[in-house]
Amino acid sequence: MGGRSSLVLSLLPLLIPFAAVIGGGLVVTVLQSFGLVMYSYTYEDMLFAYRHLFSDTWFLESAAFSLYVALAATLAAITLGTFFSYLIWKLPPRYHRWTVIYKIPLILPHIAVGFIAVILLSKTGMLSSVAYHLGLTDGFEEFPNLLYTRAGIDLIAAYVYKETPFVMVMVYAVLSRFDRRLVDTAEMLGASQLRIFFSLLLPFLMPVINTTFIILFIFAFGGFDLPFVVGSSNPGMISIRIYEYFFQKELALRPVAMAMLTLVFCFSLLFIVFYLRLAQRVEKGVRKL
Amino acid sequence: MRLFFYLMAALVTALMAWQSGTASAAAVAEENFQELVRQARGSEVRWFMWGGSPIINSWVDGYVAEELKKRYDISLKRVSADAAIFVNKLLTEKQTGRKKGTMDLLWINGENFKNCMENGLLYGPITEKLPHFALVDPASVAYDFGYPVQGYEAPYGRAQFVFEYDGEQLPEPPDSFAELRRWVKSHPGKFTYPSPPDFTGSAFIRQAFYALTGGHQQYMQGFDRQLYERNVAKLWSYLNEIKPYLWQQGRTYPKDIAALDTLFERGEVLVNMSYHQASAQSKILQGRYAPSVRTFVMEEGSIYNTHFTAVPYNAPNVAGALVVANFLLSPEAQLSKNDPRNWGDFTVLELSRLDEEWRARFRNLDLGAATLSLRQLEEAAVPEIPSGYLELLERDWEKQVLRSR
Repeated sequence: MGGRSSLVLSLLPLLIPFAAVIGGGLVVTVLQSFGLVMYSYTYEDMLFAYRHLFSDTWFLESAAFSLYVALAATLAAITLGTFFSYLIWKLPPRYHRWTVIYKIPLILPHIAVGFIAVILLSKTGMLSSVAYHLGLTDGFEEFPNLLYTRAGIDLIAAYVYKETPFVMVMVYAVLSRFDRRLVDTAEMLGASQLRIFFSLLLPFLMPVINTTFIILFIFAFGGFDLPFVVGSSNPGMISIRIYEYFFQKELALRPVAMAMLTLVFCFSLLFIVFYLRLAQRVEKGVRKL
Repeated sequence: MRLFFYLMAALVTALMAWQSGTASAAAVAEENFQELVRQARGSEVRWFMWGGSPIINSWVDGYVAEELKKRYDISLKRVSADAAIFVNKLLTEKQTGRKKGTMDLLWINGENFKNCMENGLLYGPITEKLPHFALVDPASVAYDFGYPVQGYEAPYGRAQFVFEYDGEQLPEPPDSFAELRRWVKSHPGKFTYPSPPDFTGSAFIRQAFYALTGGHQQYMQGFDRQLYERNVAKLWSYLNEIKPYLWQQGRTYPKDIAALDTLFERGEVLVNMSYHQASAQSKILQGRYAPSVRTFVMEEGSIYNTHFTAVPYNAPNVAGALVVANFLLSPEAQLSKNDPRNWGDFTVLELSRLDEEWRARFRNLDLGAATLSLRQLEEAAVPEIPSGYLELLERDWEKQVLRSR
């Protein structure tokens, strides 16, 4: 009986600051999004900020763009990361210590990856000058636009570069516990490599892939540093919009930033709930087979 | 006759009394200031300011900090933060009722000053407490982006908008808005501006707004929505006309001036801009720009603004903050700041209020080849727009230009 309450008690020192900081911030954000506790400003219409957001399409465009970038980057990083960790896992053990190089992007901060993207991808960047020296282009003007594009290539590339090693670390940790004898058995029974990967390994990896997917997706969807360095201004990631409304516009418009933050928070919460439900259902289906 | 004599005597006495009255008011201000200096001795002043420019930072940490230590035994601590961020911090402190804050002095102007005033975040009025404020023409600093200053911030520098170009790549820069349109169309991809609400990008469209709608004069009487709506279409049609010929075909704009600076340094665009007349010179001295970079202003005029220092309502060291604000207004500090090797920021002092020796020192400053002369800049100078216009311009630019197809 005492087990649970003593656990809560012993966690209190951790829980109190957590609840105060996160919870307090959340409460103020939601209140300000309704125009309350906004310093000396008062708003007649409590939904002013939300009306402002939906009076025009830019908010939805930014939200759709963020969704697209986050989904594309996360899917690519998960696919590449899982595949690479599978390759490493298949290597003879004596090579394993060399594979530590892949962890380099892990220790780079996002903003540094953003600068790397600028240096590599810009019209006067390194790729452009390589192309010029190989005779592929006649000058930087001919090099295609890769930065600040509406397709978000720069953002997606930077996120994939940064997140793939993270996926590898997560997936490889689980994969290394996999019983190799199962693979040997499957091979003896004549299963192809593809079949082994999809029917044996992937179901085993799905829980960690799901967790990683949620972490990366939520991060990329709301992340600020990379879009600040490389993203385009139109439509622009939602985090950039929030920054503009919070810091660069007049103070009386702050509820709009808070409304966006509230919506992003709600969306992330809903996303986690639905994703986990879906994952559970799929998993059950697999087990039944 | 006798009556006349009495009248004269009374008049003279009254005049003398008035004279001594003003003299003693000045003496009282001076005495009060000496009291502040006594209080500030041995204290620490935390100055919150924008920290994005290494040259400014080293001027503050070097010259200013050393002089303050030597003269008043004050230790100056520079804290780097964007104005919007420390105003935000101050708002939170006010909301939670913090009587004793952490900031003594702020570098502030425009929108942020307005936000502070609307929420009662500043201590003041302060300028009447600063003896060196007598060297400033009060009319020149009565408004900050159209918002009445009322003595709540002390001026300390002036910046003016200039365009930058490399004289070797572009012998004849387009120095009017009509010329700019023609040039942009014949050089696709070689021009752009930072997307408002970036500070410099926003100033660029304000300047175009003045130029395309018949000058700044009409906007000086505070915000007038009808006037704005009558005039603004000309600005949007101009900006949309050049849009397809901008960098990246105008589909996207550099997010801030730092991004545009980088494009200019690498030669992707040929014309850059800066809301600081001396920034090209200091970038040449830093080796970031080629020595052949020069600056120009538009025929139709170039905007200038004043930056200020202000004291938060809950500053722990008001006396020290006022002594620092006063020191920044001294001819010595103003001259040192005006030197392009230190910073190149223009003085706010009215030179006619200085003695001949100091006037000569200001006149003899070598501003560097990339900076326009004081006379050229002064002839082009036009004041900033009231902030009501500024907010609408920034908001509507997004809809009318950035997102228009």
